[in-house]
Amino acid sequence: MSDEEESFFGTKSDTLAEEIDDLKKKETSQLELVWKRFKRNKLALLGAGIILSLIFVAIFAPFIAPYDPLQTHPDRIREDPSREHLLGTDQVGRDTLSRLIFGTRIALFIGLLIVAVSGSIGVTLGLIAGTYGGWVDEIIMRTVDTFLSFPVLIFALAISVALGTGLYPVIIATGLIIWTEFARVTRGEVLSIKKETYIESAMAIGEKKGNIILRYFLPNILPSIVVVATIQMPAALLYSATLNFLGIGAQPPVPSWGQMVRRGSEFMQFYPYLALFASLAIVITVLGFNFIGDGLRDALDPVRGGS
Amino acid sequence: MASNVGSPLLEIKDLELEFITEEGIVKALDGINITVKKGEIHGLIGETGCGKSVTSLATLGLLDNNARIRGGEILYRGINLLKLDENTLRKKIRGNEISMIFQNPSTSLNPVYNIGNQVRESILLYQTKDKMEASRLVLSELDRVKLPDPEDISTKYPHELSGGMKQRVMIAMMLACKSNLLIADEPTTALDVSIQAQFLKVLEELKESEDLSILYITHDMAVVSEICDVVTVMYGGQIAETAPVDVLFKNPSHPYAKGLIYSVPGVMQSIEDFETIPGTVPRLINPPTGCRFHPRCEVCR
Repeated sequence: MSDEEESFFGTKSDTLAEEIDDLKKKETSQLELVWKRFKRNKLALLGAGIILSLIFVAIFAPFIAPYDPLQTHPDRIREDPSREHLLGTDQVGRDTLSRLIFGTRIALFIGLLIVAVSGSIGVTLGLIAGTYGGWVDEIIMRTVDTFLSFPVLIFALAISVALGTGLYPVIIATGLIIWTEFARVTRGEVLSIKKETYIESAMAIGEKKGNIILRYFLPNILPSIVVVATIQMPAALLYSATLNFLGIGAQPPVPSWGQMVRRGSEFMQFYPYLALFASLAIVITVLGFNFIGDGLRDALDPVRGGS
Repeated sequence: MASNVGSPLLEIKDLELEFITEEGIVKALDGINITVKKGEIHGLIGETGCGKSVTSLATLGLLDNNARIRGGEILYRGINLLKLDENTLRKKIRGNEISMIFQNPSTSLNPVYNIGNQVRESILLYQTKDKMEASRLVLSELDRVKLPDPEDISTKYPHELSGGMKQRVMIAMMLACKSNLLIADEPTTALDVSIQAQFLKVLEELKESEDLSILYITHDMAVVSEICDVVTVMYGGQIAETAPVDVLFKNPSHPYAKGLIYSVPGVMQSIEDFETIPGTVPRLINPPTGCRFHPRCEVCR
C-alpha cells in the first residue's frame, strides 16, 4: 500500500520535474527541441551515423580505398575475401571494397540530384496548387495522378531509352516519378495552414500572393518537405540502382552499386560475394536514410501540433 | 463620449450574405446596417455564430469561396467595397485603409520569423521602402503599443511571448499600416482579464492619438461598456438594436439587448438572481421568419 503511494508520488514529482524541464526548454529554440527528440530515437541516430559515415567515405574515397577501383588484375579474378582484398575481387580482378567505396560517390550524387530536382519541381507545383486552388489545383493534381498511374519501371525504362544511357536519363526518369510525392505533401500542408490566422492576418495587411507563398507558406512547411526528402532519398537510390541493374545509367567501368549487383548476379551460384556486398551497400544506405526520415518525422511532429 | 464623432467612415447597408453548404443555404446575414463614424469605437456584439466575424471578413473581402453576397453594399468613404476586384482590395484597402486584428493572438503571428522582422514587413509595405529606416521604425512602433524593451522583443519569436504581448505586436503591425479603420475581432477573448484591461487602455489611447476608428467585435458586455461609443447588437444575422452605449445600457429597447445586459454576472450578485435568455441561437439554415429572436422572446410570448 505504502509502496504504491510512494510510487504514485514518485511519478507525480517526476512529471512535475519534467514540466519544469519543459518550461526551461521553452527558452531553447525549436531547432534544439527537435534535436533533443531526434536524439532520443536510437534508430534515427544510427541512421544519421550511417549516412554521415557514407558522406565521409564519399568525400575521402581516394584516401580510404585500398586500391584503384578501375585497375584490373586478370590473374586475380573473382577471388574470395582475403587479407589483401577484404571483400574479394570482381570478374576482371578489381578490388570490390575500393569499387564500393567509390560507388558511394555515385549513389549519393544521384540521390541528392534526384531529390533536389524533383523536390523543387514538386514543391513549386504543390505550392501553386495549394495556394490558388480551383482549376489550377485541379490541373496540377490530375497530372500528379496521371504520373502515379504509370508503371514506374517501364516508364523509367522508356525515358531512359529515349534519352540514351548515362547518369542523366536515370536522374530525369526517377525525378519524374518522385516529384509527385513532393507536390502532394506540399499541397496538403499548404491547405492545412491556409486556415491559420497568421495567413488571414497577412491578407489583412495586404500582402502580395507571392509574398504569402514565400514568407508564410514555404518556411512553415519546410519541416515536412525535409522529411519527404529524406524518405524519398532511398526511393531515388533504389530506383536508380534498379535501372542500373537493368543496364541503364552509369556504364562500366564506372563503379556503381546497381551495376555491381548485376555483374555479380551472373556468377551468383559459385561466387556470391560481389552481388552480396554491393546489395548490402544499397540496403545499408537505404536503411540509413529511412531511419533518419522516420526520426525527423517523429521529432518534428509534436512541434507542428503544439504551436 | 459621443462628442468627437464625425462623418461616416464605413457604412454597411442592407447587407445580405449566404453560405452555400452541403446541408443547404445558410443565411448568415439578413439585411445588416452598421455605420462606423470617424473617430468612434463602434461595438458589435452578439452571441457566437450571429454573423459578427462574417461582417468584418466581408468588409475586407476575405470571405471563403462558398459565401455569396445577395444584396446591399459596404461603403467605405463612399466607395462600394463589394464592387472592387481582389487586386484593388489588396493594394488600396487591406492594410492601407482598413486593417484587422484577429481573435487568437497565439496563432496570428507567423511562427518562423522574429517579431522585428514581421513588424518591419508591414512598415515596408506602407511607410518606407528603405530597409534600414524600417528597422529603426520597428522599435518606435513596438514602443507605441507599450511593449517593454522593444529592442529585446523585436529579436524574440512568437512562441517566446505571452498572449497579451503577441496581441500588442499584432496591433503594432496593424498600426504600422497607417490605416484609418481598425477591425478588432474579439481581440481579448484569449487574454487574461488584467491583460485585457491593459489592451483596452492601449486601444483607447491610440484612438485619441492616431485618430483611429475602431469596429470592435466582441461578446463581452463589460468590454463594450468600457470602451465603446456606439453599440450594435446582432442576433442571428440581423441587427437587433443600435444605440449609443449609455442609452443601450440604461434603456435597452430590444428584448434581446435587454437579455444580454441582464445576463452579465455582477461581482456581488448571486447565481440565483441571474437572468438568462431561454433557448439557444437558431440555426441559420432554416431561420425563424420575421424577427429571428421571436421564438425566445418574452415580449413576443
